Amino acid sequence: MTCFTSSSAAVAKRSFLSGVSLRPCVVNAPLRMRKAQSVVGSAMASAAAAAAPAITGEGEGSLEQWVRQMLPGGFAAQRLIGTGRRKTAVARVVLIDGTGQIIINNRTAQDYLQGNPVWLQYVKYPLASLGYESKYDVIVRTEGGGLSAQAQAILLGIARALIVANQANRDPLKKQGLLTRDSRKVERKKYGLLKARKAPQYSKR
Amino acid sequence: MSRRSNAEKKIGKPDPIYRNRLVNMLVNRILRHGKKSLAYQILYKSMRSIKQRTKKNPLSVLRQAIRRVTPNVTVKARRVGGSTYQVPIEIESAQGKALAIRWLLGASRKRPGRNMAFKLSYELMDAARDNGNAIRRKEETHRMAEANRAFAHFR
Repeated sequence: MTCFTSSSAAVAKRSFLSGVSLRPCVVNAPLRMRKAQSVVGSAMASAAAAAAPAITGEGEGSLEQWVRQMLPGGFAAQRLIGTGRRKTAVARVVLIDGTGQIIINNRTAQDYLQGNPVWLQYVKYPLASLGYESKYDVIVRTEGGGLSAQAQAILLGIARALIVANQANRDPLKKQGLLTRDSRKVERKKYGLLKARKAPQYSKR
Repeated sequence: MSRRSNAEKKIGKPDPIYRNRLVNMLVNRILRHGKKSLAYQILYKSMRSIKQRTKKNPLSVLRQAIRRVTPNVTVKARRVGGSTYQVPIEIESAQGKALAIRWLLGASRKRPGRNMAFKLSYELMDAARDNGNAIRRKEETHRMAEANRAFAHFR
């Protein structure tokens, strides 16, 4: 489990610098555990198998299956859902009770965000700031934008989902500015100009 | 800009690995052409090589280097009655830190050597030991300020 979430900064740093993906060790171990839990624990899981969830996409087959199992009826049917946006990225985030795993587009966060410590920090920040690192599992479907924008969209999505979970979370999150949609976007190009602001060179005659 | 109120000072965020604002300031100034992850890689690599070479906490080496390079006074050109004077001015800590970072990076970019991470780590270690180009730059500014002390009243 520790190798999976890798909240330890050292691991993140090493993989980031050397470009080595930790994927093989990451994917399998926690999954087996999770499956065992869900089989024992919940009728929800079986319901999941019945209602065909609307998640598609490639990635680790087993991870994808697990995501389907955990999300009966797809993303929209979940209770703790939050949508975050940044630039053109959109992230739908679902929180479920769990152990602090983060799954983005059917891949682990470490894998999907390429082990980049900055982006991983964005994703972990809202949960960590409330001390919920290992209380929830986070399942994310994100599209549009680049990885950095997606990571920040996920941040906003998690923060919003945390409010749905408990209204009392609102104040501390607000205070840290985690609920503010970063409204900066690419400025449109204007006619008569070369880019949004760049003008052709002026010559007097 | 509205003249009614002063802008609030913005405080930078800490970086993900050392949890240090200074590190992020440095990264943002290493940054070129929007390649932030490259900037992070450069800095972390040089921090690691500092750690290897000096067996000290790289953060404390960095702090030491910046403290050593930070100038107390600088000179500013000012025109009074047709002629230009170099007027010495005292610097506040935030501005001094910004100058120190700029000089350190400028000096390490100019160093001969393989890559930026390598050059930066050596420049930082040199500066922490009170030599190197960034330090010389500071001393030069101090000398200029001292030489133009007579014009200090123009401020």
